[in-house]
Amino acid sequence: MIYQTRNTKKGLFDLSITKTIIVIVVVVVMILVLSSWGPVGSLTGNILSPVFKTGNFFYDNFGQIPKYFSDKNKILEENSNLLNQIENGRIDKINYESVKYENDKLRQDLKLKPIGDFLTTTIIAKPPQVPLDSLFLDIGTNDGVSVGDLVFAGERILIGKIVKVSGNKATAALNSFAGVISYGYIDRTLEPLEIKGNGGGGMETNVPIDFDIKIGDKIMIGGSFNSTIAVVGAIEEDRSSGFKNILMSLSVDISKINTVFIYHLNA
Amino acid sequence: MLRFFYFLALIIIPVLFSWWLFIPLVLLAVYLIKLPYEIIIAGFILDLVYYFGDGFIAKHLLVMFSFLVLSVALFLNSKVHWRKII
Repeated sequence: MIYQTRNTKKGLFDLSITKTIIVIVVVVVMILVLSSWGPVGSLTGNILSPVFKTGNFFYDNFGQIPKYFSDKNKILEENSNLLNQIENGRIDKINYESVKYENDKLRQDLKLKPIGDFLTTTIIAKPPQVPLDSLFLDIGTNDGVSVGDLVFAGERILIGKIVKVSGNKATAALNSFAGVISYGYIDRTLEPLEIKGNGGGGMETNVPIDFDIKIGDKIMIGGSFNSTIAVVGAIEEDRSSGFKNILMSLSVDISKINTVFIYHLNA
Repeated sequence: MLRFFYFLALIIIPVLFSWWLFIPLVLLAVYLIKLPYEIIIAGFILDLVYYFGDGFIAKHLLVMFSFLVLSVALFLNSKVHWRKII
């Protein structure tokens, strides 16, 4: 009797694998086509919006849990501090109103372009729910928002711009988004500065070692807005290279804001 | 059915808690499910709502990651014994 050995080992690309690869390639092509089709993005944003809101609610309340177990004396102290802050806030608001009134009058007298109407929107999701330095907003093309529109945290605090927009949802990239370059000037000295986003709410720039800049300096952006874009947080001097590295952060704590204002550039 | 629920979890858990959870969930999917093609669809859906930057790779980051993981799984499928769990 003759026995013949038979090779039963399957090849790397046998028929089923080839079919699978074809299916995957078709799926990938479909994905690339669908991703550039607007209504798909809009529908996805609408469907996932309640899940984003639930996650945002979770993160907002998660930080409050330790407060339920805190000491009574600490709560009294915190209450006293908060009352002081409210009083300071009330005084600041009165000052602000008077300065704003003066600013409006001056703009009228100098025939400067008035500050346009801002669109107010809520933040549906912020980091860590979405990638760092981005915000998922409850506003879209139906409200007149388009890519490149400016995002403000207050009337004079520019935090980023719209980078992705669908029917009624938009994504904003903050000034600190990795690789984003902003051009501004130091409020105290009016020296121009180029700032590069580092990610994680940080920005940096390199300047000569004798450059006049201090911790706490505000970095402003020019144009008709004159808004704050960053605050100097740390300075690292490197005497061997003759430069110093300026580390900055956004003017506001993104985790503490729930509303932003959009300025449509082509309004 | 379990496979469908896992697919839903693959989309909902990162959206609810944090985007990076998609990465361990995809790796777990490859371990639990034999040839989980649905991870590409989940990656596509999440890419539509997240922003990682401009450029082709950044716009399709999660799809490409899913595709890469699935390609490795495909390669390993003919090389090792795969225990289908769900």
